[in-house]
Amino acid sequence: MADWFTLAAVFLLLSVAVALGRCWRGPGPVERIMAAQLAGTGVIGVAVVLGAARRDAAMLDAALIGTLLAAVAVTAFARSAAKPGDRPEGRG
Amino acid sequence: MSWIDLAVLALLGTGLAFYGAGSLGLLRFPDTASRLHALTKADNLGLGLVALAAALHWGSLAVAAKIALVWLFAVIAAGITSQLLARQARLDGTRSHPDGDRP
Amino acid sequence: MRLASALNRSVFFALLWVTLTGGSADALIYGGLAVAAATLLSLRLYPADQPGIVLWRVAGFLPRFLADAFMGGLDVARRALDPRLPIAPGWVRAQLTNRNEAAGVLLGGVVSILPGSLAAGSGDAAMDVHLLNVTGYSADRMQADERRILGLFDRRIDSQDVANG
Repeated sequence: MADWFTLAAVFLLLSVAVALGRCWRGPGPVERIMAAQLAGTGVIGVAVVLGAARRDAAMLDAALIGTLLAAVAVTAFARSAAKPGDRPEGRG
Repeated sequence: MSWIDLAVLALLGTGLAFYGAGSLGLLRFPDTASRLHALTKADNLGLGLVALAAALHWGSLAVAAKIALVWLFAVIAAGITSQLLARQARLDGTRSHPDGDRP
Repeated sequence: MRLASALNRSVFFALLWVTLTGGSADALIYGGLAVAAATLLSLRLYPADQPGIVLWRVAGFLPRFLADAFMGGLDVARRALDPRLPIAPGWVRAQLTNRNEAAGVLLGGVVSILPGSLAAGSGDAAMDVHLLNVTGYSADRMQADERRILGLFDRRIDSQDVANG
C-alpha cells in the first residue's frame, strides 16, 4: 500500500512540473506567481502522500507550513503589484 | 486487499486525476483568470481526495483530524489568494486596453 | 461582549492547537502562549464589536460547501479535458446587498469554489466575478449565495445592508 502512495507522490510531482510550464511561459506576472499557488496545493499533496506512505506525521506539519507560506508569498505579491489608486476601496 | 484499501486506491486515483486535469487546464485555458479556475478548483479538490485517502490509510482519528485541518487551511488560503490573483488579473486586463497605462 | 468574544476565540484556538500537536503534554505551555497571542491578534484584526460568525451555522453550511467544491472541481476538470475546450470566459460585476468587508471576502471564497465562477475582490457593494461560461451567469443565484453567507453572521451584519444606507 505504501508503494502506491510513493507512486502518487511521483505523479503529483510530474503534474506540478507540467503546470510549472505555464509559469515559465507566462505571459503575465500573475502566471508566474501561480508557481507559489501551485506549491500551496501540489507540493502539499506530495507532503501528505509521502507522510501517509511512511506514516510520518511530521510531513503533515511540513504540509501545513507550506500552505501558509504559499499564502503569504501570494499576498506579498498582490500588495507589491497593486498600484495606489487601482481601486477606491483598496486599503493595502 | 481489504475494502478499505480499495477505497483508498479509488480516492487516491481520483484525486490524482483532478490534479492532472488542473495542470492541463493551466496549460490550455486561454486567459489568466480561467487558468486560476483550474488551479483553484481542480487542485483543491484533488488535494481533498488525496488527503481523504491518506487519512483512511493512516487509520487514526487524531491524524485524520490533523489532515482535515491541513486541507481546511489549504482551502482558506486558496480562497484568499485566488481572489488576490484574480483581482490582479482583472487590473492587468483593464490596464492593457488601448487607453490604459501599461506598467 | 468583549470578554465573551475573547473567551470564545481562545477556546477555538486551543482546540486548533490540541489538534495540531496531537495533545502532547510537553507542548502545552507553548500552546498557552500561542493561544493567548492568537486571541490578542484576532481581537486586534477583527474587533469584538464587528458582526460575528456563528460557528454552528458554519457547521450546517459545510455539507453544501463540500458538495459545491466537488461540483466545481468536476466542472473545471471536464472543461480542461474536453478536446473542444468548451469555455467562453468573461467578467461580470455583481451587485451585493451588504457592505461588510469580511462577508465580502467570505462570499468571494465560496463563489470561487462554485462551478464556473471566480471572485476578484469586492468593494462598494459590488464584486467582480470571472466566469468560465459568461452566458450562463445568473444574478439570482449570486444573490442566493450572498444571502446564505450573510446568514452565517449574527444580526449585527444587517446594519451594513445597502438598503440601510
